[in-house]
Order: sequence, then C-alpha cells, then structure tokens
Amino acid sequence: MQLCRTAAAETGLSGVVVTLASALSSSQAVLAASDEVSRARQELQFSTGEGPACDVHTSGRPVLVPALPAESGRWPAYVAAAVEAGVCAVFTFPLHQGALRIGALSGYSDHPRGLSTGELAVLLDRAGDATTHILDSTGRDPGAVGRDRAESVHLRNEVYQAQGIVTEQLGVGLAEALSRIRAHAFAAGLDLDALAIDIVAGRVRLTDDRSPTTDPEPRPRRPETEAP
Amino acid sequence: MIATDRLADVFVDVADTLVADFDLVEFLQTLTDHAAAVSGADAVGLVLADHRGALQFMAASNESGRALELFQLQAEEGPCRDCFYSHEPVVNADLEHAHDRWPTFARQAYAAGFRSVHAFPMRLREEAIGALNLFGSEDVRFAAEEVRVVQALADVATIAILQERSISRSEVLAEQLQSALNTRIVVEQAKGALAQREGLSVDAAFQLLRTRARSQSRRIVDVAEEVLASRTS
Repeated sequence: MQLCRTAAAETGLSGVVVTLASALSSSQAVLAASDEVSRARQELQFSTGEGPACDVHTSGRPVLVPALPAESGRWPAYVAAAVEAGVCAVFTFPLHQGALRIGALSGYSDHPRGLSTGELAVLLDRAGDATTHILDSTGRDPGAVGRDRAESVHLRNEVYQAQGIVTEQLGVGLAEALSRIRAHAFAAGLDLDALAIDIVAGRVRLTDDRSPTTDPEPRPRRPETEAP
Repeated sequence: MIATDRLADVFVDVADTLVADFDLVEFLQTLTDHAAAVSGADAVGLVLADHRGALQFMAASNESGRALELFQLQAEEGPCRDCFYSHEPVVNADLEHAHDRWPTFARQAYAAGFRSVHAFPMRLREEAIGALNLFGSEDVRFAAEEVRVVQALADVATIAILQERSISRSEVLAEQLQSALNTRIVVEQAKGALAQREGLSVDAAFQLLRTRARSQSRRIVDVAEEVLASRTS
C-alpha cells in the first residue's frame, strides 16, 4: 500500500506494515506492507504467537521498542526470531476507533533508534489514515461520504453515541454500525453529524435494510421512535 | 469567588486518583465538577490536544460546558484556544465586550446566557497539553490568588493525566494523550449502546456507567468496553 511506503519514507524507517486484527482470534493478517522484507518480519509474530502487535491489540496502546534485543524477557521467541531477521527497533500503533480494534501499524528499523516528536506524529497520523481507509472501505458507498482526512477517527460525540445506539438496534458491530449510518446519511442526503444527532435524539431509527443506498424513496422525516 | 473550604476535599479526591487504579474518565469528570463547585462557575469544560496539536473535547461539568467547548472548537477561536497557544491563563473576560476578540464564540456564549469566561492552560514544562475553561452566567471576576488556585487545579489535572508512566520523553506524552482521546470515544460509544439497551438518555447512560464503575471499583472505560464487548467485531 502506498500509505506504508509513504510512512517509511517520511520517518526513515526501513519498512512499515499494516495488519488487520481477526475478530475470531488474536491473530493478525497483513493488509499492506511497504516491502516484502517488512512483510516477512511482521509474519514472525504469527509464527511465534507473540510480539508488539499482539500486545497493542490487547491494550489498545502503542508499543514503542527502540532496542528490540533488550526485550527478550517480554517476548522470548519473537525477539529471537526478529533479531535474527535483522530487526533492531519496532514501533507499533493501534488502529482503533473507540472500542473498535481494527489492527495495527508497525514500523521497523535495521538499527536501534527512537522516534522524534515529528516522526511520532507522522506515524500516529498514518495510523489514523489507515483506520479511516479501512473503515471507509467497509461502507456501502465509500466514495460518497467521509472524504475528509481522518474523518472516521475524529468525529463528533454524537456520531460515536449513534454508533453505539445502532449496534444495539441492528445487532451489528461498531464498524458495521458506522457504515450503516454513513450509508443512510448518503441515501437520505443528510449530513453525517445531523443524522447522528437525530439518531441520538430518537428521531431517526435505522431499519435493518441491507441496501439503503438503493432505496428510491426519500427517508421519512417523521419520528420513527419516541425520544425517552 | 473561590470556595476555599471546599478545596481540601478537591485535593484529597485528586490525591486518591493518583494512588488508586487510575480512571481518567472519572477523574476528568470529577475535576470539572469540582472546578465548578469551588469557583462558582456555571459550567466547566476541559479540552486536550491530540498529537497534531488539534484540541479535542474531553469532559464537562454539564451540557452547557460541553456546548461551549464545542463552539470554540468549531469556531476555531475563544479563550480556550488562546490560553492553549499562549500557555497563559485568560481571566476575567467579559463576554458582552469580547466581540472583537472572539466574534463567533462571544456571540454564541452570550446568547447561551453566559457573561464571563476564564481559561487555564494545562502545562507540562514547555508544552501545553490542553485547557480548562470556566464559564459564568454573571460577570464573575477572579482575584490574583483565586487565579492561582484554579491554575493549580489545572496543573493537578495535567499531572494526573500524564502520571500513568513517568514522562521522560515526548513520545510517551503523545502516546498518553492519544490513549486518553480514544478512551473518551470508547465511553461515547458505550453511552449510546447502553442508552439503547436500557431505554435511557445518553446522559443517564453515562451516569449508569459511572455508578457501575464506582460500585464495582472499576474504571469507567473498562465498564464501557464490557458494554461494547459483544458488539466490537
């Protein structure tokens, strides 16, 4: 993915990899890598069953390792394999949106090093971009709404609240809930924020319609449920 | 006016959070409530900066506080931003005569019934990580020693946010703030899910999350994660 190559170039890291978390297990699948060496390095975490990406998925917090050999107590099998593969430093960031854990972005270095404030900001930005990209691509109409940069990661409160409401109403996950809200906003010609405010106020309730964008009828403006 | 008799309680509460299993959401909520009670402000709000330096809403003592913070973030002007960028408190600003300074924000805040505003930076060494805002429905003036008391509250909040690990490196600071901002999103999502499940308003759902966390001696974010656990795939 271009994003990985850009992130590596911007930070001087030898490679950057984006992984997707599986909902069914703690394993992660490589979604994109700047290069094949980095992809192979990332896959050492599957084969050893441990490593920073696994910890990031559990904790939801970045794991920054400027000197990997020093961490052999933390991940014995992984550190042995990764050091053998030439990894000296690894920086892993969660791809998340609230409680939704999507995956991780990992940057590798062939020599021990830290990150400057600027480099850290770049990697946090790229992790946000990857999150937005992945959330957008789960939407039914990814081209129409949510084009703003990092829009999925920095939404207003009502959008997050509406996301929680819709998970319960439709019995779906948080990612699916966001994509349903987006699709509905697009179909109804509504602003995402405005729709979220209506959902939170109980003025709009999304129905379990699998294809809202093909619905030729304008969305009813009357309240479908009463506000509590 | 600062209610100095309540200050001891505030600092005891704050000290408790520093030794107990730290609950950032509960802490910031309590801090805004305390700041309102101690200062007599009608609304208090708190914002933190993300790694891009963009201010994000974190907590408020009530709905007005939240709205006033969001006005400032949307208008990209206001005392909160000014004190964040200057690292200096903005005190005793009279909203009736602040149209030149903050054309959009002053109008919105005045229309919402507020007359005075004070903003205090949350500072760590050379950096600011956020700001605490106090809003009054009357033209409340703080004396110099009162300014110092509220600034101390803001400083304590800064320490509490950053205390989970020792802050020796800027990378830890950015990481800490990013986690703090995501924690808030988790809570917003859980408020929605719980509101729908229990037939409550989102504000009542937040109170329920707080009550559950308190009675089980758990962090609000952990209770929120649990509410969402079956729905995160």
